[in-house]
Order: sequence, then C-alpha cells, then structure tokens
Amino acid sequence: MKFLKFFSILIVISLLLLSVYVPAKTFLRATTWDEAEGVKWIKEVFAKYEKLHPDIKINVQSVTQGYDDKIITSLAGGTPPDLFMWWDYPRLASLDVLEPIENIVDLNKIDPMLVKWVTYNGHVWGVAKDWTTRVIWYNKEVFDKYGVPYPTDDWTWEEFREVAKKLTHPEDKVWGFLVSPDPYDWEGYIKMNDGDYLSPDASTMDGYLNSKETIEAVKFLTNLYLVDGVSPSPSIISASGGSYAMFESGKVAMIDSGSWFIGYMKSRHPGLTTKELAKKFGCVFPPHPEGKEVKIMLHNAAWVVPKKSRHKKEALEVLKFLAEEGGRTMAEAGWALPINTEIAKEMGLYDDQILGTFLRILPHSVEDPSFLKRADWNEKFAQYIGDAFDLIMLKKASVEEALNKAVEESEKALKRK
Amino acid sequence: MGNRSYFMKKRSSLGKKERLEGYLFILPWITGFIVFTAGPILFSLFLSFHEWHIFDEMKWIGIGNYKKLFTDPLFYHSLKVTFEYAAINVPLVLIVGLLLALLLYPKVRGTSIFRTIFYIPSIVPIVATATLWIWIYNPEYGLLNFFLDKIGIKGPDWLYSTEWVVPAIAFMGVWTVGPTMIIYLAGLEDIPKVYWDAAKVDGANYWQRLWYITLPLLSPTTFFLFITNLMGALQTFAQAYIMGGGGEGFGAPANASLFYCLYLYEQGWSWFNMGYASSLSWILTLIILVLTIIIFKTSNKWVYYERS
Repeated sequence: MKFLKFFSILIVISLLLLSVYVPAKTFLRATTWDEAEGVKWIKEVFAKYEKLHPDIKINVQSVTQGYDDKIITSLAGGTPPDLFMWWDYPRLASLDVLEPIENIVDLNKIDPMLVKWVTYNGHVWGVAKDWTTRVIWYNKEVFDKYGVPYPTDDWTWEEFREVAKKLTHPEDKVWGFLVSPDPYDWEGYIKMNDGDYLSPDASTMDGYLNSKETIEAVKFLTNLYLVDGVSPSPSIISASGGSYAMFESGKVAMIDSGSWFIGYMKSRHPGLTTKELAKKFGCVFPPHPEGKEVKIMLHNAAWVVPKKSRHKKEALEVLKFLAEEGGRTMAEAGWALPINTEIAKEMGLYDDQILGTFLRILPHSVEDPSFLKRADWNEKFAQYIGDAFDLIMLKKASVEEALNKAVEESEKALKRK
Repeated sequence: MGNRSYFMKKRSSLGKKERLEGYLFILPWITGFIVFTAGPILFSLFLSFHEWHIFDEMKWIGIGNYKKLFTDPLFYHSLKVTFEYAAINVPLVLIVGLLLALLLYPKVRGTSIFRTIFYIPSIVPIVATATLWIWIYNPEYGLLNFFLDKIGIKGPDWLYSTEWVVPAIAFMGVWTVGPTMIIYLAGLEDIPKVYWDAAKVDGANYWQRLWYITLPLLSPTTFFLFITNLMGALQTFAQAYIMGGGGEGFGAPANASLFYCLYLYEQGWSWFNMGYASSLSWILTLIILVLTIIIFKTSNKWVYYERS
C-alpha cells in the first residue's frame, strides 16, 4: 500500500515536470473550401511554417458544403477559425469582423493587382492564395473539324462573332461559344467598352449601367445567344452536365473561364500536365472592341484573419510567412499560380502555352471592380443586374429596357434603406 | 372502486411526489420546446422591431421594418408568386387526394398495397424529389416534354420559363398527396353506409351519391385538409430553393419563382437583414391567421357536421 502511494506521487510529479518542460503548442485552426488535393498542398505550405515555428501547429479544416454558412455561424458565435479563405471581402469587412493587414504584413512580394483585389474601403484584408484571370478557352479539335484557324490574343468583338458563328452547327449539336449568365463575369467586357456598372463615387448605376457603352457591351454578349444563336440555352447546359462537360466533349467550341478548367481536367485525368492539356485545348485573351484595350475580371480568394480569433497574433505571423512564400510551393506542385509573379518568371511559367496566357493578361485586369466598391453591392445592385440579364435572355425585354429597369429598381432600393 | 384513504394520500405527500415525477418526465420536452421553438419565435418577434446584421449591435427601429414591407415591391411580388402556387397546388392536392381515397375506399384485393404505393412519395425527402423533378422538367431532355412531344405538343421551358415555373412547382407538389389521401380515407370510413344504401334504394347513381351525400358528409374533413394544406402551401420553401430556374435558385428566372419564404430567407441569410426577415415572417403568420379565421367564419355555410 505504501509502495502504491509512493509510486502514484512519483507519477504525478513526473507528469508535472513534463508539462513544464514540454513546450506548450499553440494550435491554430485554418478553414478552407478546398477539397482533398487542395488541402494536401495547403498542409505542405503550413508544414514549412511549422518547421520554422515548432511551437505552432496549424490544423486545416476543409468545409466543402455550406462553407459560407459555417464561417458566418462561427463568426457570430465568437469561435471563428484563426484564419480562413474568403473572397467577398466587403461583406465581412463592412461588418468589422476582419483584421486589416496592410500595416502588419509586408505585401511587396505579391503582384500589385492581387493586392488591389483584396482591398476594400482603403484597407487590405488578406493574403491572396487562389487567383485566376479570365481567358477564352478553345477546343482545338472543334476548330480543326470546321477548318477555323486558332484565335490569337488580339482579336476584336466582330472577329470573335464570326469565329463563333463558323463553329456553330446545330445539326451536329455543336455551339460556338457559351454565354455565361453571371454579371460578375461580364464586367470585363463592359469595362473594355468604356462602360461601367457603377458611378466613380459608387453611389448610383444611373448613367452607367444604362449608358450607351454598357448597353453596347451587353448587346454584344446577349446577341451571341439571341441573334447569332451560337450559345446553348441554360436548359441544354444544365442537362448536358454543365459548361465544362460540354466544352471538354466538344459540344461547345469556346468558353470564357478561368484556370479552374485545368483543375477540372486534372481531376478527370490524373497526372495531366499543362503541356498535354495544350494539345487539345488552348487559351487566348478575350476579344476586345475595335480600337480598345482588353480588360478582364479577376477571381481572387485570400486567407483572412478575423478580429475575434483567439490567436490573432500567431495567425498574422502565418500571413506574413505566406506573403513572403509567394505561393511557391503550390506553383511548383502545379496546383496553383503563384501570387508572386517573380516566382512565375523564375519557373518559366510565362512560356507555358496555357499558364502563360493567364499570367500575361493579369496586368489587363479591371482595376476597380464594382463588387469591391460597396458592401451592399449584391443586395442593392447586382441582383437587379442579374434579373435584367434573365429578362434579356428570355426575350422579355430589350437590353435598354432591362438595364433601365435595373437602374430604377436599384435606385428605389437605395432610397428605401 | 378504490380505497378512499388511498386517494386522500395521493393528494398529500404521495400525490406531490407523483406530480413532481410527472413534471420531471415532461421537463426534457418542455426545455426543448422553449429553447428551440417558443424562445426563437419570441426572439424573432423581438428582432422584427430592430435592425440587426448579425455582427453589429441591434438597433431599435420600432415599426420601421413593417413600414419598409409595405413599400417593397418584392414583398408584394413574392406574395403573388406564393398565392399563385397555392391557388394551383391546394385544389389539386385536395381533388387528387379525394379521388385516390374514393378509389381505395372499396376494400378490394390489393387495396393496402396501393395505399402504400400512393403514400410513399410523400415520405421521400423533398430535396430528393425536387432534384429528380428538375430532370423530369428539363425542356430538352426531360421525361415530361419527351412524352408531350410524342402526343404532338411542344412542351414549354418549364422551370426556365417565367410563366411556367410556378405551375411546374405546383404540379410537382401533388407528389405529397399521401397524407391528404389517408385522411380523406378516414373521413370516408366515418360516413355511415346507411346513407348510401338509402340513396341507392331511391335510385341515385354514383355521381349523385358522391355529390349529394359523400361530399357534404366529407366537408369537415375537407375543411381540415383545406386549412392545413393552405398553411403548408403558403410556407413553401424547399422546392422553390432547389428548383427555381432549373437549379439557379433564388427566384430564377427573373424572380418568377421568388416564393415568400425564399425571399425571407434571402433577406436574412444573403443580405443579413435579420430584423427585416423577422418582420416578413410575422406578416406571413398574420396573413395565414387572417385566412384561417375567414375560412372558419365561412365554414358554417359549407361544412356539415353530423350532430348539427
């Protein structure tokens, strides 16, 4: 009995000593919408950080369904992750739940366009991780089949229309170009034509959404579907498995999209390299109006740190590391484009047939996208633009009527608040 | 018969103990009810007088949200969409439910199998049903237009058309006719057979029996089913959320499928207007209440109870 007592005291003392000597690890929680492969690369990057900081361990949480809801609920409940992926910065920044990082993290190594696209209301809200510009992907087999020469980076809207029409063959169930229904995607075309969604002071759409230039741009896009008939209808798209399925199988010759197509193809053909992809598919700059410069929308998701994070200081240190690392790990793995374009130059990515296009068009990104100008962009503006596009595509209203209606609805909504 | 002193004891210490036990038994349910139902309902009433965007402070604005409601075109539009849906769906469900019950009433062989078959669709999760029907309704490759084409009709764009999206969702809602059918069946069983026998003797045919005897005697059942189906129809959410615009959701196309509860959800969870969304839900409650009262008040014109 005495021995047992002695033994248990010994255990307790040694445990106490152990807890003092073993450095207490700080656990950080990082949440992302990435799936298995994306998470793998995130963990690789974080592993490098953990090597430099053995007292930190970052747990990566992948939420593939209901990501927005999960983040919002955790923020509302006061237990947010220490860092998480986000893209709609105004929505959270305007509610004061994110930590601005421009005075804490050195952003010099990141391409300035990618920093601009994480800026809202004069502050920078995160370190970019996944970004893509938009290009016109084209299916080389379809072009070969109908004897149409491949497009180049410098083509006009009129030339584009002709190419799309030449590639449209309803008897073969092949369409020239798939028109996307998302106002976000169209902003590039509108800005290319010197139009805009919003006034420079972001107070109204009147005079901008319904300006001659914007109407022209919207007409260009919608006429591809309504007049030229080069685009399949939404019901055909959804019944055929989506735009990428139609494009891959050659039912659609061209699509306006980002680098996600590469990820889509890689998941269907494991081990696919961009060199092999380039054998069947190519990508070029989108067409521009005669005499005007091409402009495209960017998609830029970043790691953000919530103000209420329990380990804010440590999370910000991780952001500093990521800003310095520049996306090298993921770029070398062929998973994503680096956020530091110097690394891309170093790796020779500018010479890659496919990745090079995405990199070269980056400086042509829209400099002041509408969604980054107002926190209520979706509620008071974008939803009416979306309704307008629906009406135009359903032939229920002309472009002028629909866009003017959208302006009217938006003005009413702004007054009501 | 019982011992008098036993009952006296019950009211004192033993009785108290049993009462306490009784309360303890229902305590879990009561707690759940207060925390998950009654509490949130009262909180939403409280919220409807505030402006709140989840992360900021709640701001008292009195009836501000309610005033905003009345000048909101989408409020009226979503009510119109929802009432259009109910106007198609509720009569359809009642008629189909009654028809099925009339078919199942004579106890021929295999009745119970058919009863089960007709009931099963209503227990399939609505999300699965809705997703399936998006396919059936597809204008190019769906089953419905395929069959319509075979009989020479060019089917409309269904979920992609602003005119047909609400009727499409309303027709699909008849999938849930199971419970209505079962209740009508029970109502039919309640009718004393002597009435039909007497009518047959007097020379009435099936349709006359149906119109003059069955339907009036079923009117209490119809009354109940009308109210419950109407209440449910006005609160439709899942089908609208999933099927609108063939899956685009949120009222596609061009707000043609913006059901009231969908609009409410959008206000609360897309735009974070929690106060406004709460006021929308209370107005719906009021509307349903008023409709129910109206139906009750007019019921003595068309509902025949056996006793009276």
